Amino acid sequence: MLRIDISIFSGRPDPSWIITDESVARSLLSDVADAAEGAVGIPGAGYDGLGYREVVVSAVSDDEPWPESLPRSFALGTLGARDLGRSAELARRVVEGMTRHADTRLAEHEQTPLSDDLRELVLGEINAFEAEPPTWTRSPALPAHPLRTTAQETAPAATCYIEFGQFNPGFWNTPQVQPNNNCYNYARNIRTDTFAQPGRAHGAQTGTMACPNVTQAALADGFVRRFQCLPDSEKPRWLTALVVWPGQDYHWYRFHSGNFWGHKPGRTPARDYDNSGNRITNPETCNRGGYRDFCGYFYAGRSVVIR
Amino acid sequence: MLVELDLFSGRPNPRWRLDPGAAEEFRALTAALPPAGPWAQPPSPGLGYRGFTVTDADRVIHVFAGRVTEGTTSRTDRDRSLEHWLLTRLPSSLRDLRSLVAEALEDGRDD
Repeated sequence: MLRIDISIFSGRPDPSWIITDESVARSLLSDVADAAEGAVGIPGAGYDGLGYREVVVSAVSDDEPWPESLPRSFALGTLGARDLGRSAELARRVVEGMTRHADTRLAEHEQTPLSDDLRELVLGEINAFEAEPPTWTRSPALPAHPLRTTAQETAPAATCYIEFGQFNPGFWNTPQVQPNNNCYNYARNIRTDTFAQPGRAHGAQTGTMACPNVTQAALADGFVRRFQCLPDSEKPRWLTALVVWPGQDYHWYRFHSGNFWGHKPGRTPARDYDNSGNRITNPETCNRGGYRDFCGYFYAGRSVVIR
Repeated sequence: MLVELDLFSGRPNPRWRLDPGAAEEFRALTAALPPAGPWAQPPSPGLGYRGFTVTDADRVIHVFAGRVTEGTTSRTDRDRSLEHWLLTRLPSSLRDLRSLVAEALEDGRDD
């Protein structure tokens, strides 16, 4: 899935949407990757005045399959690109699809609903921007992105395949992402900007902070218990762990390549260390403060939907 | 004036508003604290109590571990009086949290 943000407004939220159609996302990333050297810029590195500035394309998880030649968030239709014409051409292609991706509701849609009028406005602004670019300097080259690996884990009753993602706190620890995504977002590895709650997407949210209740809510979202093996079609299949502060709250961890666990306590930064400052190699024994009940391990496959 | 108790990981943090009288008292208490010298931000403990965030119009003030920070400026609150004061303003609907936070303040007394 891809997140699109048009940097154009000052007061109201910028137009934003999520491309959930994997074939559309793959096709776009492939075409942009082919033109990356000339057409892509780093977000925020181009024109930053009033009016149209750029189209930003971002991964919505920290382990989205991604072309080697592209950063995990990049700008099109930007003065940060070497070839503004090609960059604007790709930006127009993204914007032309705007209204086809309105099904995934975002908070921004309240004040900036996706409409044909808005699409035409943005396309017109991109044309004008390309025809008469504001005076600006150009951006430097691009960084790389992490990959994930698949491994097997074995119990007496089953051998399951799961994915180990690289620890990528930079994805989460930005002013746009950090305050609006919690431990549940981190465990599922998806940015929803809703401070997601177990079960909420399926009418199964619980107010009782106990292992059985939070577990049931997460199962309703599509989590499965460890060693209930998921098929390849569920890739990426994350290994997660749930703990509970009895009566108060819950917390999740996600396993990473390198044999350690990452987590994101509430609105605070994502991290790989516990309350004692030690890297987490075992969520059952690490310092968890008041979250003393260990509920168990779970897999989160791609069909898990949270909100 | 909006107060957020930074406490939870999964659930949204508790938030409530101070009435105008309490808001004025908070401003006065904050202004009376001495400026802090050069210091390092106390590390966030991660899970559990992480202080209070007070939003007063366009001001955002963090109160934690005997430090009161606003942007790049900070004040010292050695006995954590402002944290205790904010804790007494916890709405009755959140009273079950009072002892949890008081315990965390007590545990951090010698920090």
